[in-house]
This record gives sequence, structure tokens and C-alpha cells, in this order.
Amino acid sequence: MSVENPRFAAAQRAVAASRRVRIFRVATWFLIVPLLSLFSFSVVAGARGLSGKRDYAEAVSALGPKKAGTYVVLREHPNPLEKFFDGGAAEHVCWIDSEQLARVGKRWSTGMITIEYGSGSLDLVTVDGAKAHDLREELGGVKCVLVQRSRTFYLPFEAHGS
Amino acid sequence: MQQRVQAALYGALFVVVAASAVLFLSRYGTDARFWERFTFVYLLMLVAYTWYLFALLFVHDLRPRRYPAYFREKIAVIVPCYNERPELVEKAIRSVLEARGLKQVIVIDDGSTNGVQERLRELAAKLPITLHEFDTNCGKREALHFATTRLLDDDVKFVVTIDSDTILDHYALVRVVEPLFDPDIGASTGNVLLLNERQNLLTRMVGTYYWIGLNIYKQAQSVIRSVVCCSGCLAAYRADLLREIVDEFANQRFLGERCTHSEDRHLTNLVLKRGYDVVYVAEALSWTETPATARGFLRQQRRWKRGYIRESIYTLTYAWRVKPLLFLQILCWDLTAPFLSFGLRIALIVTAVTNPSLIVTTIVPSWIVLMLVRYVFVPLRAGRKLPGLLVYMFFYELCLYWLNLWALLTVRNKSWVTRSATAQI
Repeated sequence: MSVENPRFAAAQRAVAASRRVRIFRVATWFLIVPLLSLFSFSVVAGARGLSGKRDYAEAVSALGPKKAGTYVVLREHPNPLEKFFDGGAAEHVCWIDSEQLARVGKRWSTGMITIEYGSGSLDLVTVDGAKAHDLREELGGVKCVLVQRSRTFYLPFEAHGS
Repeated sequence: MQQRVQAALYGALFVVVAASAVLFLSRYGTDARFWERFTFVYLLMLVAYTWYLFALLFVHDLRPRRYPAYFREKIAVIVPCYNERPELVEKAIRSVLEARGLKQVIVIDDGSTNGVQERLRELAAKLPITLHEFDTNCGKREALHFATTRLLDDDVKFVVTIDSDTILDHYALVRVVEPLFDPDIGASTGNVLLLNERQNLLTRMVGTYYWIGLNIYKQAQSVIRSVVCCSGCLAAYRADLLREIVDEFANQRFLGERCTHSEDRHLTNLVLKRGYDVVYVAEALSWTETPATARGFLRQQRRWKRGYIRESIYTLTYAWRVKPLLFLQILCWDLTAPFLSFGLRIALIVTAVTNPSLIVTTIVPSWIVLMLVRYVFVPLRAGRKLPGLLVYMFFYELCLYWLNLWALLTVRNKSWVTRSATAQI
């Protein structure tokens, strides 16, 4: 290790606040302030995202049975559909029975899946390619909530209806 | 009374860590809202603190301070030395003698056992320095206390303390004392560069770490004239003020234990406590060495972080009266943030284990971008330190952050750690 004079001189120049350096420093704030604003926005938005664990069941309940509509379920692990069919939220979702399934099956491609969640399991009928309005009519002009993900509708199945 | 307040504040830090951990666990309970709100509030605090810091730096850039020029006032330079490498201490002493200013140079050998005394005696025989030798190792505080109370000339106006491995720039002394012509300023500190910055990746990282500490944090503190630590490498005090506080300084206790390390931070605290301002002078240059191994560096950091916790607690006991802005800064961020973020870091670790792809694809890239914005001054004003910054960012998250928790648990530990080896760094 040695301490060379040129290094001292270089460091000396580095900290000397000449007029040019000062102007440059003040000018850099035109970059720094927008960057910092972006930083703030990203952090706050990110924080909102972190805290934005959606409560789908609550959201569906809040809509109520009279506010009919179609809702797209976002990707979420482990099962994005669970929230719609668990507890009180299930009351507002469109169900399907054997008779309705027979009618729907004649018009669109249908399938059956079973989802499992904390309080048990549930059979869901999947309907592909239908339009919400047509599906409602086929179900008997219902105004309940249709759960849709991508182009597939998911309807809880109850063989004998309620 | 003050001891009890300090103990209470120390205990409160454990409560902060525990609260953060409980909030983390609450996300697995029935209601995750507390965790979500906590995360949001913490990040808001981070943003607010960053704006505050940047606002101070903007003020500095817009209106840098100017001080009266030095004019042959006498400066005493105290160089405590313990087991320093003889060639380095000689360079340090010669750099002091060559520096501008009317000086009294005092070297205290603090009971060295590595043979450096012989070199010091030789130097004392041919150079205008005052050498005093302790028979046993008494500590840096005692060395400073002894020099201040027994060896200072009566006409000394300013006292500059440096480490025995500090090399001074030719103008370092006069520049570091110039702020002291302002009667409200009690102490000032200078810029520290690394002699061995290019030795390896670690030393480059430490160089960046120093640069950030000095030219961002210390510079910002200097705008509110409340620098919290006049670095042991290069610090200047009013001689009359130093004489007034040096007894209290030597006898500091924390949780019943006599304090040894982090004497520079405590000395600064005593100056601030008396209502004086403390400033940073970037133009006062000095060079020092940093440990070149991870082990050595982490040892040094353990000691510094213990001192950081202890002295931040001490600051809280008086700053609400004399430096309210400093009080708020330390209470709301400097002291509490590392402990408040404990739960957040655990959450990141859990995410890394359960969903490693998320860390690689989202969290790490976002974090790098956010940190680059937060430390935007490094690429803008010290571009060559950018690689060091990237290493520092990872090193901090993986090692340095966790040292805060270790330091909290072992804050009463008095060991100097690096000083007992071969050199005081």
C-alpha cells in the first residue's frame, strides 16, 4: 500500500465544489425528482398490491343477488374458485341442477370438476363457449352471479335443485 | 434516572422486534389485515424518509455552506495508538506534521505490545511531537481523556482527533476546523476515503458504503447541523468544550456497564446534548484502511452496530429538547426501522423458500431498481462506485441487516473485537 500524491490531488479535485460542479449537481435534480416520484409511486402501489389480497366471497356478497353480472376470477393459488362457493357467498352464485344441465349440455360443451377447500368439496359444472345472457336464459332467466374464468363458466351442481 | 430511561428504550426495541414478528404471524391467522396495513405503513415511512433525506441534500446542493478561513489558530492533534503497524503510524504522524495549520501533535501509545513503541520513540526524538506511553492498555477513551486534561497547551483553540492509521490531506486540518469559527458549532467531521479500496471486491464495497454514509447520510444531517457521529478518523472539537465534556465522556455507562467502543459517537452526542451544532466538511480529506476480509469487516460492523444502538438510545434521551428534528429522525426511522422491518424480511425469506421463482423474477429485480433510485447519487456522483453499490445492496440484506439483531442482543458487550488483534480500524 502506498499513498501517492496524484491520488491526493485527484481526490482533492473530486470534492472541490467548483461552479461547474455545483451547476451539474443542481441540474441532476431534474432527473432525481422524477425518479424519486416514480420510486414513491412504485413503493406505494406495490404496498397496495401486497395488501390487496382480494376477498372474493365478500365482494360477491356485497354485490347482492339482484346485481346480476359476470365476474372473471383472477389467477390465485391454491384455488381461485374457492372464495365464490364458500359460506354465504355461495348463496348468490348461480347453481345448476340436473334438468338445467341437460338443457345446457345440448347447446354448449359441459364438464364436471370437483374443487376442495377448507370446509369440504363441491362439484362444479363447467360450461364452455356460452354467452352470459344466453346461459342465463337457458337456466330459466336467473339473475344470480355467474362465475366465469376465461371462457368457462363454473356453476355449482346440485342434482335435484333447491 | 437516565440509566433507567436508556434501559426502557433498549427494552422497547425488543418490543418492536416482537411486534413485527407477531404481525408477520398474523397473516397466517384468520385476519391478515393487520399485516397488510403494517406493510403499507412501513413502506410509506420508507418513502417519507427518502423524501426527507433528498430534500436535505437538495438544500445542500442549492446553498452549500461557507465558513470563515483559518488564520493560524492553534490546533492540537491527538493520535491514540494501540498495536498499529509501525510504518502506517509513521505515515499518519508525518501526514499530520505536513498538514497546514499551527499544530501541537500529541501521540498516546495505549500500552502497545507489537513493538510500535520503539518507532514512536524514534519519531518523538526527531520530530516535534509529544509522546506519552501508557504501561497497559487503557482504551481509546482514556487516551483521549488523558491528552485533553494533561497534555493540551493552554493556547490551543481546537482539538482534532484522528486514528493512528489515518493519513491526512495537506488541507485536512484547516478545513475541518473552519466551521468551528461559528460560535454555534461545537464539532465537525471530515471526509474519509479508503487507502485500500481497490484491494478486492469487499474493499470496493466498503468504499461505497463509506461514500454513502458520508456523502448522503452525514451530508444530509449536516444540513440540519446535527451530524450524529464525528468519525474517529477525523473529528474536530472546540478545545474549551472538549475540556468541559471529557470527564463525562470517559465515565460513560450503559445498562450498568462501563462503555469502551464507539467513543466517537458518544463524544458527538455530548456536544449535541449541550446544544451545539455538529457539521460535516466533505472537503477535509483523510485516508484510512478497512479490513480486507469479510470476517474482519463483520467484526468491525458488530462493534459499530452495538455503538449505533447504544448511542441512538442515548440521543433520544436528550434530543427532544435541543434537536427535535434529530429526535424525530432517530425515533421514527434511524433506530427503529431495522427492527420494525424484521417481519418483512422474514416474509421475504418465507417467499424465497415457498416460491423461489417469484424472488428471481419479481422481488429481486424490483428491489434492485428501487435501491438504485434510493441511492441514485452513487451512479450520478460517484459512478465508479456502482459495482460496489450492487455488492453492498446484497451484502446488506444477507449479512449486515442481521448484525443489527445480533448487536441488539449483545449491546452490553464491551469487546473492541478488531482492536485486540493487530490494528485498530
